[in-house]
Amino acid sequence: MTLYDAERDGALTPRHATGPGPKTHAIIIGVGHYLHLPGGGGDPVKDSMDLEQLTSPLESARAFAKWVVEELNNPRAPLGSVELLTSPPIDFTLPNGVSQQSSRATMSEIQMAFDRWYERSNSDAGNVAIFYFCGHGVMGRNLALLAEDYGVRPLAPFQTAIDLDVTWQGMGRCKAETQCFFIDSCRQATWVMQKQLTNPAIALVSSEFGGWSDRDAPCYMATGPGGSAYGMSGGITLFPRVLLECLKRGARNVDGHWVVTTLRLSEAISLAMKELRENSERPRQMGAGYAPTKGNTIHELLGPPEVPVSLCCRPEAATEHAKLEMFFSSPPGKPRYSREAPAPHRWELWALAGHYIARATFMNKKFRGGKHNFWVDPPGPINENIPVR
Amino acid sequence: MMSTLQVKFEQNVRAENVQVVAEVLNTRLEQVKQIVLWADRPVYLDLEPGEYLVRAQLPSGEVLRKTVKLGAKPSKVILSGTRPPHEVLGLQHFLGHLATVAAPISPETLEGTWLRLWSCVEGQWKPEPWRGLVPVGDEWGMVARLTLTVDRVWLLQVGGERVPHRFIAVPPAGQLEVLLRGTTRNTNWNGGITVRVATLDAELEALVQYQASGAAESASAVGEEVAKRAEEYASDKLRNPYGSALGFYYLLSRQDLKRVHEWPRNFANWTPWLPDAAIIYAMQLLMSKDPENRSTAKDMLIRGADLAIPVYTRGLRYVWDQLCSYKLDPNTPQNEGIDRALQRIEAYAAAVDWNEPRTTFFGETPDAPQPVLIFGTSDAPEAVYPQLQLRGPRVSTATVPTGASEMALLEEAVRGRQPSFDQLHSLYEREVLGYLRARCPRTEDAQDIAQETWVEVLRRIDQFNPARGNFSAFLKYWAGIAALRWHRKRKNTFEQTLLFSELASRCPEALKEEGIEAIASSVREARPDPEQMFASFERYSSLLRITFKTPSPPHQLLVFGFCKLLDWKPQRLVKEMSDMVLAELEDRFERAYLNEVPEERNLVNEAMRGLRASMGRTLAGAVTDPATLSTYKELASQPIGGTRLRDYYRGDPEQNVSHWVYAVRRRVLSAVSAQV
Repeated sequence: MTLYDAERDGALTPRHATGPGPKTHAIIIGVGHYLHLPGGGGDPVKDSMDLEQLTSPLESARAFAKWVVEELNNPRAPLGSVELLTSPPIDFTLPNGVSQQSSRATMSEIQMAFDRWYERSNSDAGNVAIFYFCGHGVMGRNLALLAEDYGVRPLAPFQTAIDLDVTWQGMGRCKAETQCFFIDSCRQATWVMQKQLTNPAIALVSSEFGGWSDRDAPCYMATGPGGSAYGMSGGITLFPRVLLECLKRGARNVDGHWVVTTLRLSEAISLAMKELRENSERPRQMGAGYAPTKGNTIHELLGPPEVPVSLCCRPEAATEHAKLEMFFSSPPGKPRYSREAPAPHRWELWALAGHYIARATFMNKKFRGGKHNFWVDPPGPINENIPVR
Repeated sequence: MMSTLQVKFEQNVRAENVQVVAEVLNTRLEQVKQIVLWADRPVYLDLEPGEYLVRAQLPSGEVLRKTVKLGAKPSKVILSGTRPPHEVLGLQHFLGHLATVAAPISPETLEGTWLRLWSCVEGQWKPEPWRGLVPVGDEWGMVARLTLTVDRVWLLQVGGERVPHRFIAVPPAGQLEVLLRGTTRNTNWNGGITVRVATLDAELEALVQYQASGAAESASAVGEEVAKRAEEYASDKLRNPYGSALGFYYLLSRQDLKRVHEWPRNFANWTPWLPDAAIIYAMQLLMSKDPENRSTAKDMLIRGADLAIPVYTRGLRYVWDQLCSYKLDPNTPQNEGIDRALQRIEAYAAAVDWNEPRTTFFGETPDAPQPVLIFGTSDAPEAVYPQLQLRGPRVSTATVPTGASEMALLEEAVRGRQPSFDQLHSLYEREVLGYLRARCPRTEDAQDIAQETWVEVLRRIDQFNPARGNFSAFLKYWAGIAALRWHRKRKNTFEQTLLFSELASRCPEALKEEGIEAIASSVREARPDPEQMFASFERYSSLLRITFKTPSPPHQLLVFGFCKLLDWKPQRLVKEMSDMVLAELEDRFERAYLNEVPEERNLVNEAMRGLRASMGRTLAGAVTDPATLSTYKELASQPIGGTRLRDYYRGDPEQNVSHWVYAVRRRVLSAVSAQV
C-alpha cells in the first residue's frame, strides 16, 4: 500500500502537491531482515556470501522517508507520492498524525510498488522520480540489491534481487526528466556474482534498443566500488546521514533561491564522504555513465543552508582564553554566534552560509584581540583562524 | 564602473594541460563567473568593485579558496594547492591518486611484486620490454614514466607472491606515468597494492577522476572543454585517440548526438586498432533509433570484440550488453560473428573488475582471463621489480582514525570471525613488534611478548572503543601491559619503572589492570634516582621518546638529539650544521638516527611527529614560553622550518649548544621524576 498519495490523502504540508502538474514521486526501500540468510528463520541459502541480518536499513529508510514527507520542497514538482517498503515493516507517522505501516520489502511487493511509482513518474516529463534503497548489495557485472526473500529459490537465488544497472537503463523509457537513485548498500564484489554467465538479478523495468531519453538520472552510491557501507548498529547508516546533510549543504544561491541540483548534490556528497575517510584516496562514488548531466533542481531550501565551521585563534594556544564571536558582515549588529572563554578546543559549529566577521577578545592581558573576515560558503567545511597577538 | 580581477592558478605538476574549474561568488554567494584556469596562465575578469570569493576544486578533492576585495584598481588572486610529499609525485597528488597519509607498505608486501607490459597486434598478445625506468619511491608511492607507441592496445600486468595477477588497460597515449602504492582497501583483490596509470594530459586525467569521484559539476565543466576538442582530437591533424575516446564517451553519455556529427565514424576508421573507437561508433548508431543503423552497429560491436579488449570498462560493458541483446533479438539474423564475439568477451566479462574505469581483469595471460586469483613471482625477462626506498620513518597509523574497512574487520572479529582477526594481525604485526622491540633487550623477547599481546587482544577485542582512540593505540596499550608483566617476571626493576611511567602518563586506567597495581606499589617504594634512570634510558630508545615530548624549543631539541643521541660534539655541530634550516636538520637527524637503529622506525616516527609538525608553524605559534619568545622576537613570525641554527645563536655558538643540551636534559629528568 502506498504510504502517501497526494490524490488520495490531499496535501499534508504546504510543500505537498495540491493539483495537476509535475510532482515528485519517491520509492524508499529498507531491507534489514533477510529470511534466507543466517538468523533469518527461513531455509538458509546455499551460499550466504558472508552476509548477515542488518539493523541500520530500517532507521535509514525511516529517516529518509521522514525527510521526503516533511522537508522535501520543490515548488516546480511538489511531493506527489511515497512508497515505503521495509523488512520488517515499520510504523510511520504522517504529518497529519495518521500512522501507516510500511509494506514488506519482498520482491513481489517491491515490483508492485515499483510499477505504481513508474506509472506516476511516467505521467509528466516535469516529474522528479526518487529511488532509495538501503540493504545488502553485491557486485558482479551489475549491482544486485537483495530483497527480503533473497534466496527463496535455491537454484536461482538472485531471482529475488534487483538488477540496479538494467533497472536504471530501463528507466530511460520513463518520461520523468529528473530521476535520482540513492543506493545505500555495499558494493562488494563476490565470486558468486562474478561467475554468473548472465546478469542473474531482475530488472524492475527492462531496457530496450534505442530506449534513451534526455534525462538527468544520477546514481548516488554510499560507497566506492568494492567497498562496504557502514552504520552504527541500530542507528542510521552513514550515507543517509551524509545525504540529508548534503541536501542542505549542497545548495547554491540562484537568483535568491537556495536550490539543490543534481550536480551540486553530487559534489557535496563526494566532498563529505572524502572528509570522513582518512588514509584513503577520494572514494569513487559512481561510474561515469551514472553521473548527473543537467543540474536539475530536486529541492529548494527556505533560506541559506547551515555549513560546518571550525574556528580558532592563531596562535592556537590563545583559543582557550578567547571569547569568540561571529557577526554577519552586513548588516552590522549583534553577534550571530558566540562562545565564551575558557574553552580549550577549536570552536566547531554549524553556521548559516554568508559573509562574516569573526572577533576574538580576551579578559586577561596575555593576548590582544583580533578580527578576521571570512566566508561560510556551502558545502564547506570551513576552517579559519583569527590572528591575535 | 567595472574593475579587473586577475585570477591565476599555480601548481607544480609535471604534465600538460593542467587546469582547474573555478567560480567567483559575490557576497550573496551567487556565482557571478565560472572560468577554466590553466596553470600559470592568468585570466582577467571584469567585475563590479566589491568583495568576492574565488574557489576551485582540484581532481583530488582539495578545495582552494581565496577572498578578494576589488576596488577601483585591478586586483590579483592566486590559487595554489598543497604541495605533494615529493615533487616527482606532483601529477598523482594533483589527481588525488595518493592516499591522504602514506599507506602502510612494507618491504615484505612489495617483495616479489613485478610489472610487465603486453601489447596486442593483429589480435595477438605479446610481452613487451619495459618502456621506461623501474618505478622507484617510498611509502607515498613508486612512480615511473613510460613511452609507448600509439598504434595498439597496451596492458600493464601486475603480480607477485601476495599480489593477485591482474591486467590493467593502458590509456592510448604516448607518455604515461605509473604509480604503485599501498592500500588498505579491497586487499583480497589487490594484495594491498593499488596501481594507477595516468597520461601526462592533466585535463583528460582530471575528467576521468572527477567522473569517478562524483564531482559532477567539475566533471561537467571539464567535459565540455574536452568535448569541444573531441572533433579535433579525432581529426587527421591531431590524432589523439585518448582525447577522442574520452570526449565522445562524454558526449554520448549525455546523448548529445548533434555535437558528435560524423566524427565517431571517422574515429573508428582512423583508429582501427582501438576497440573503443568501434564501440563508440556503435553507440552513436544505436542511439539514432534508425533500424538501418542496427546492422552497422552490430558489425562495429563484433569488430570491437575481435580486435583486442576495450580500454574502458564502460566500453566492455556496452559491447557485452549489446551483443547479448542481439543474440536474444528474434529480428537479428544470427551469425557466427556474434557467437564468436560473445564467446571472446564472455571470458573477459567473467574475470574483469567492473569497478575500475579502465578495463582490469584477472588471469595469467591477456588471452586467457580467469575469474580466479593467481599469485606468484615472474621469471619473465621483461618483468621489472619496483623499488621501495624508505627515505623517512614509516608513518604510523596511530595518528589516523581507524578506517572504515578496518572497522569492518574489527566488527567481524568481535563476532568471532577468525579470518578477520588474522587480517588485522597481518596489518599490525610489524608495528606491534617494533613497539615492543624498543622496550625490551632482544628481538626474541619482543616476539614472545608480541605473542602474549595478540592473545590478550583477541580476548579483549570487544573492549575496543573507537571513540577513545584508534586500533593502533589499543594494540600498544595491551602490548605495554604485556611488556610490563614480562619485565616483572624477570625482576627487571628499571625497565618496569620506565614502562610503568610511560603507561601511567598515557593511560592512567592501566593502573587498574590485573597485576599492574602490584607493580605500581613496588615502583613507588623503590623511588629510583632520576639520574640512574637517565643512564638506563640511554640503553633503550625511551630517551628519544621522552625527550621529544618535553616542551623544549625545536632548535634545542634538535641540538640535544645530535649531541646526546648521536654523540656529536658541539664543535662539529656548529661547524657543519649552523647554516642548515631546521626542517633539513630535523630530516638529517631522523635519517642519521635510523641509520644507527633501523629497527626503531615506528618509534622514531611516533617520537618525532610533534617536532616535524612544528616545522610548518611559526615560532610564535609553536612555542608558548615567554622567555624564548622574547629572546627570539625577530623570528616570531617566521616558519620554524625555514630558520637556521645560526639564527638562534646569542654569543659563543658552542657555548649556546652546550647550554641547550643541558636545558633539555633538565627537562627530561624533570619529566621522568614527575611520572614516577
